[in-house]
Amino acid sequence: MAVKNYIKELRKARGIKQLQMAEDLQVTRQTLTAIENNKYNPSLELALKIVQYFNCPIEEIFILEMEE
Amino acid sequence: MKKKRIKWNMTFQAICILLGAIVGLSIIYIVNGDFNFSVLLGFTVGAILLITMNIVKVRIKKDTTPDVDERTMNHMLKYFTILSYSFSGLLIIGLFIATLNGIEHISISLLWILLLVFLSLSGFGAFIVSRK
Repeated sequence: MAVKNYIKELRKARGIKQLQMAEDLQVTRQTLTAIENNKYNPSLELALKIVQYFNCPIEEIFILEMEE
Repeated sequence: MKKKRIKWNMTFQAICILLGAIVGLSIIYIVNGDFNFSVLLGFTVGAILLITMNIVKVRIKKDTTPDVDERTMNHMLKYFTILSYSFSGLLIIGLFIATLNGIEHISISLLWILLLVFLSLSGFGAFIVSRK
């Protein structure tokens, strides 16, 4: 099982720059890139911060993908 | 306010290092009656280097993203764990070889060298890992 996210799509849809979002969430740009590319799973605290940032339900941002 | 303070962390560290050196050298002066100015000069040069690096870093960096976050902290934690275990392992192997060769005494300077190697590896490694 792997956690996937739609942060990149949501961010682009809202026209937010990656650096701007990194500054708002107080993470490095590299970390945001790693999260967007599903290379790093954020902590619960950061995940909830992201949810609050986009102001939409958590299941619209993070999904648990079942392995076949 | 907190962010502003974090930005000047290295300068704060440099001042603390310098103060520590002065206090240490003063204690030595009280006990031995000898104040070592060459040591103080070394610490001063180190402190000046740190402060200069901090000023350059603050001037170059335009955005307000932090230098360290949860991912870099995780990386550093992993690095320190691997380094500690590897170093302990190497020390045990070294001790084993020394015991097998019948060595019963080693000089304190060798222990200092080992400690400095460990500290250097920790410092440089953590710096590289935090940039990943």
